[in-house]
Amino acid sequence: MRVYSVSDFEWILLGQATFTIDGASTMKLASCGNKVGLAYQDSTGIRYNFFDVELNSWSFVAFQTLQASTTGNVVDFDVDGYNREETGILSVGWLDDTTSAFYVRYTNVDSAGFEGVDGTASTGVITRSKNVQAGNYIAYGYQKIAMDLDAQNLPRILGSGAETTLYTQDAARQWSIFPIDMEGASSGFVPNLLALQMHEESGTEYAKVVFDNNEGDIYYFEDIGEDGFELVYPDLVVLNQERIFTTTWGCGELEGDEVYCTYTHRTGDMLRESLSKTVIVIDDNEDPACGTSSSSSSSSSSSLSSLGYSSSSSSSSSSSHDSSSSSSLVHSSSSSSSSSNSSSSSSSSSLDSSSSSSSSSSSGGESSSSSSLTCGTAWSYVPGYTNSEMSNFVVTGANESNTDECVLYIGVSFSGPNNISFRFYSDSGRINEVSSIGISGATFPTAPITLSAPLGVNQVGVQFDWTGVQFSTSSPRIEAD
Amino acid sequence: MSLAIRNIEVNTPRKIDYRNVFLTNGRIVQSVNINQLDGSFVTTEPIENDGQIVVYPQSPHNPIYDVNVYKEFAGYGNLYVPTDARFDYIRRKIWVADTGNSKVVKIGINDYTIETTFEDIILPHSVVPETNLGGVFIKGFSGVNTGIVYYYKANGELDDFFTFPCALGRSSTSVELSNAFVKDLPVPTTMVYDHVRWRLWWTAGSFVYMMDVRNRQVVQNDLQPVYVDTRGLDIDLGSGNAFVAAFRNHGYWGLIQIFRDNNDISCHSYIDFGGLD
Repeated sequence: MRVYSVSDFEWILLGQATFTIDGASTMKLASCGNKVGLAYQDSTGIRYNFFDVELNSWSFVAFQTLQASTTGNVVDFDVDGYNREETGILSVGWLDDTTSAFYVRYTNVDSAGFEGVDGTASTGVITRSKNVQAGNYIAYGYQKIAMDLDAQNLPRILGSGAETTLYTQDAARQWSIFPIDMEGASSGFVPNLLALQMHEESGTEYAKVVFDNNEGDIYYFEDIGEDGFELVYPDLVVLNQERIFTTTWGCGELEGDEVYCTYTHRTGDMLRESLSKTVIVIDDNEDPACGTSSSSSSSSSSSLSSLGYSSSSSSSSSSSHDSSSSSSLVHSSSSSSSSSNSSSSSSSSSLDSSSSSSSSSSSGGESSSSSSLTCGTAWSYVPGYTNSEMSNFVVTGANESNTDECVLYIGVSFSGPNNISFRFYSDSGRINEVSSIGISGATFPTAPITLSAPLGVNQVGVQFDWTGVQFSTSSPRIEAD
Repeated sequence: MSLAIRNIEVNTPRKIDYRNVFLTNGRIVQSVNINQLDGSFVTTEPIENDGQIVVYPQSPHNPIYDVNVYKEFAGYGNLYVPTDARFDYIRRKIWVADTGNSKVVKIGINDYTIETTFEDIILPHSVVPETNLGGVFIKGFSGVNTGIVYYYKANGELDDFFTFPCALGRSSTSVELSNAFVKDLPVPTTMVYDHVRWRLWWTAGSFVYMMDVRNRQVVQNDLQPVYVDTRGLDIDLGSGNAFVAAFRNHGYWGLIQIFRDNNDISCHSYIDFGGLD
């Protein structure tokens, strides 16, 4: 999993870590102050973690289980977030299906791992006792949920499916129920992903709802008061920061603006807030494929942009509370569309020459990882680091000609019974070794080791290797200075 | 007995057209369904001749007016106490709830041969074609107090089934060739399909159920305490709202309109049976 800071033209890799995840395509995230709260759904329930975008660190070495979500069958969930000083708080709403009842639930969990904070120990929003039983259909419940927090961090939850209902909570933690007339969303169109954002005008709250229909189209509804929800853009495809761009999806292509880079096989979620500008990306060994320009984009995304305030592909429910504080991944608009049950997606973004990219691979019976980076790249965590057990890793790239006398540093503290060596190569294939440093002994220093490659040599590869098992006490990091 | 066909102005209410199909004494008709394409209609007579279906042309004024009775089918045998028959007018089929044989059959109306048979269905009494894709919904029982709705897709695969409380009012699910037995069954119009929105509606007791095929959901609505029982229902295809004949706790029948999405009762009116005989 990789965490990028994103500006209009640049993706900067903040950090990455390897997690064992089953259900990554359900990943959603929310801004929680300086932290980004992440959550996904697997067979046991909802799992969460926090990434600190200032410290570039994770709150937990593994995703934690939201215990309240383990009692039933999680049909769908959504998140939003806020913070209390340095503590990030992730608000989670989910649909819980059991044999006898269907529940809409909601709770808060903070970055220290405490559930039910801020008066949300009781997770029940509504309980619907079942009179009818179904085999594999959802009985007396909803298919999709979307959540948004208001200015007081009180939840607004939308349950959608055969019927649509908005649940709002007041300061006394009492819930109000508003049936919604939104035929388009509740009959004929099955939302694949759903996003809700509330806005307030003259003391009255209104909802905006976006969903894709599992058939390649995104629909945008606005609450128009007593008359229900109005379908504002029946064929909305591209949502841009500066403007809402509509076009027609057909023949697998979108006619749009310039597109510079395309990720394939990417899932994940995206934040669009001017403060953090952070996106979480989960990919499967695909580097961005960058071209000069393109006038169209073919997309098979499993997620959708949120509520019309920023332009990007392959994104899903944003938790931005302030629509004016959004940022976009690309300066020009990009496109998005979804297809049924697809976990693959494509997206586009512009990357300049200073951008970072990385990929992971396995070799030689032990996992190894590689990263490419350029001079000036800040400390980056090395992929392939799991559960405090060090894997061999390889760093390639640096500066191909070393014209800037780029120096690579490696920082890691570890202990273990075996010898370890760091090797520098002048070729990316790591054949021509130009320097190496070995450390022997049963126990290595616990302080970070910083080693630099020799100057004046084209250094394009670095590797450290050992036999046996080393236990790292910190995440290995690399830096090109 | 006669089969009375009435065209009623609901607002007044008054008859604006009528037609009687005269039947011999003792013949009861349990269901009637119209072919939307040619105006012919099919009835089920569960007792007459141990059960039969009858297909009537659109109008007795047609040059060719042949009323055809169907009971025996090659390779299948005889219908026995059929209680519902409905056209899949898109595909020129008739689906029949062959209640006494615990089967549901699909009949091609070009040659009136049986093309599909679903067996071991207890007391099927309402059968609704899924006209969008060619499947069928079957309402029956899984016990004397439990109703069941099956959804079979066009290829014969069971997509899902739904169980719900439904009192048969008898001590067993055994079939009897009697008017009393037929009368104890829920009427065929307790289930209807909104093909515009891919939604199946049905009633049982005080509950109204709606199953959304595309959302793969089923929702329930208990009309209690205001309404304590229901009979048939139909859908206004324009709005998607359901109209349900419901028995109010004050002791009279009414017609209520239920909003398509959220089980809200939009309005209700009393049913005046006077003058509509």
